[in-house]
Amino acid sequence: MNRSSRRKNVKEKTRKNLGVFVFRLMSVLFVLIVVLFQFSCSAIQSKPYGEVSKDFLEDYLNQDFSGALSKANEFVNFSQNQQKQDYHLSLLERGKVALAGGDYVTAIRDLQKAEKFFLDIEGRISISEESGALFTNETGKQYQAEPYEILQINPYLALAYFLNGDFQGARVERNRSMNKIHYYIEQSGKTYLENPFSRYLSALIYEWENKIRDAEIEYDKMLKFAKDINFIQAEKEHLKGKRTDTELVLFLESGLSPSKHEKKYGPIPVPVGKYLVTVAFAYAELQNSSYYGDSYEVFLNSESKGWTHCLYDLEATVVEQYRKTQDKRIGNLVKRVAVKQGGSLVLQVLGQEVIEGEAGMVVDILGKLFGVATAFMEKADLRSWRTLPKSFQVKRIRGLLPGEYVLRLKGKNGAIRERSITIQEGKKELSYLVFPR
Amino acid sequence: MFRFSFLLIFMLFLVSCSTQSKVIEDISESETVTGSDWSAKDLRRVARHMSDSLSDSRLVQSPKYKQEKPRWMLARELSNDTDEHINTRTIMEKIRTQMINQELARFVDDQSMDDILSELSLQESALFDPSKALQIGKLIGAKFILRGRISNIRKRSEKQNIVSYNITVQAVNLETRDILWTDDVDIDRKTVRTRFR
Repeated sequence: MNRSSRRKNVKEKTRKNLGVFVFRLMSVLFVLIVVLFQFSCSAIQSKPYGEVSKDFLEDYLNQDFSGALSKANEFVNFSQNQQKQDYHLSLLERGKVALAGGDYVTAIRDLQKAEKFFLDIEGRISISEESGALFTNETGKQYQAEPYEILQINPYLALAYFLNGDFQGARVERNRSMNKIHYYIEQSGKTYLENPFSRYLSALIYEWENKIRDAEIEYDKMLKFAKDINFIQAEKEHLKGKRTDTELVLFLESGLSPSKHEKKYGPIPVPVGKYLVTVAFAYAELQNSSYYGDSYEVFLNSESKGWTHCLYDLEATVVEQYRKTQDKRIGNLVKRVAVKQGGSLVLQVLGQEVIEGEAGMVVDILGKLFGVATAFMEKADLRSWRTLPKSFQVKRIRGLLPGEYVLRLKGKNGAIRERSITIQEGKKELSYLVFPR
Repeated sequence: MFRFSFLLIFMLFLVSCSTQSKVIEDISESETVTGSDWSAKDLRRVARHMSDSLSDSRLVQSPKYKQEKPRWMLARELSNDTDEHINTRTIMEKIRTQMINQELARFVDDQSMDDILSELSLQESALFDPSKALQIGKLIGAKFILRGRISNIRKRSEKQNIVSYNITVQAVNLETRDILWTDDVDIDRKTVRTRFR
């Protein structure tokens, strides 16, 4: 056998071996893709959060809290069975609706269960979820509560325990709130996450326990960032004087926090040399709600007691946190597009340059289809705790005589709300009202 | 082809198979500790420590105490200054159980007063044979009250959670407010968080 024919044989053998190697590689890749799609099924099949939450949210906006709770129950069941990645978020929603409607036992149970889960998964990675999300989108991943949401859970629990007659439980939740504030805000320096509602409620509980110095410390901290500094200063001054036993503290939630809306780009075919990639990406944009989120004038038995004070502009915190975490979100977006289209490109190169004949054509088509399919799967993650308010308002009325009162609230937009309350001798009455619209 | 099919079937089986949960009874004390939070092991440790401390105390060892055998009562619950919802009444009752079983003290029931008064009142009625009914005026008062506090300090970072509990219990003379005995227990625990879940 001469040299040229030997060379020809070697080339033939190498081509065959390479072909076998590539075929085996494609088989493994195929199995991998099947496995990853198994994990990312949840992302492919999941319904948009706005769609699944709109029923209970509509009742909530209309202040039909018992109707909202009934629909929130259905939402929790749906999440538990079909959209597991949203289950603990659905518990936050139901807990909040229950709190607004006066079902404190449900509120405590749901909010505690959700809190435990979110603290457990915080900062920890699930490889299967991350792999699945790389090829599809983020909606299949377990919802991870934002820091401002985690910080809001314990003050709600403190409120629920207090309104349920369990002051000891309220104290424990106050302690948890303080620990979280220390961890998320003071330790990390992320002052934009400050939660004045949590601090004020904690100061109140300290005061009612007769821990005056602790209450003073909280008011001092609040003076650095409070919206209504005069109100906080006045509260601090009151600690020095004679404190009345009979008083009414009114907490009012006004409006609704910002929602997320999808902004989508593509799918658009983009030629890269002689290859074709399909580029698409989707991201969530914040949109402020148009509902009234300002203060109310308070009347007790037709006598004006002044206006409520804005304790916490939650909308501003949500917007600020979203702005601060934008780089990370864009980074994830770019990573995902690169992996998807990189995969498509690799398959096309293999099909056109390496594998010959019909096998090569199949791989090339697979590559193009892969690019298109994964581009169409791109969806923005629109999940967030929707029942949070735009702002928290507070009004404290001291030295009331015991008896029945008609509480009337009049907003700057002319909206009027009325409710009956009872003030008992020597008791601290706490009223919690929710006006989302 | 056969190897490829086997690999495919194996991987599909791997991702879709589920496991059934298993029930294990009679676990050890250490197994009751599943994280940094308060556990059954801590409860038993506190009760053992407090009853052992009381049994060695001058109060219980004094001849006057042994002669008089004064009654004790529990405060409603330990004051909870922690960031956990701990059933502090259980802690008090566990200590009381240990003290009674070790014959260190006799207790009056602090929680049954309403039931007792209701029953006494009923037995005074014409429905009951006076010779067989309970007699009014036989209740025994407590001389000492057992009370205390539980608090914790929690230090949290991304990688670990460290909790230190302090449980303080004291015996107080109800007549004079003297603290006749006190002791405390410190429990420290650290949980390391894994990066992956």
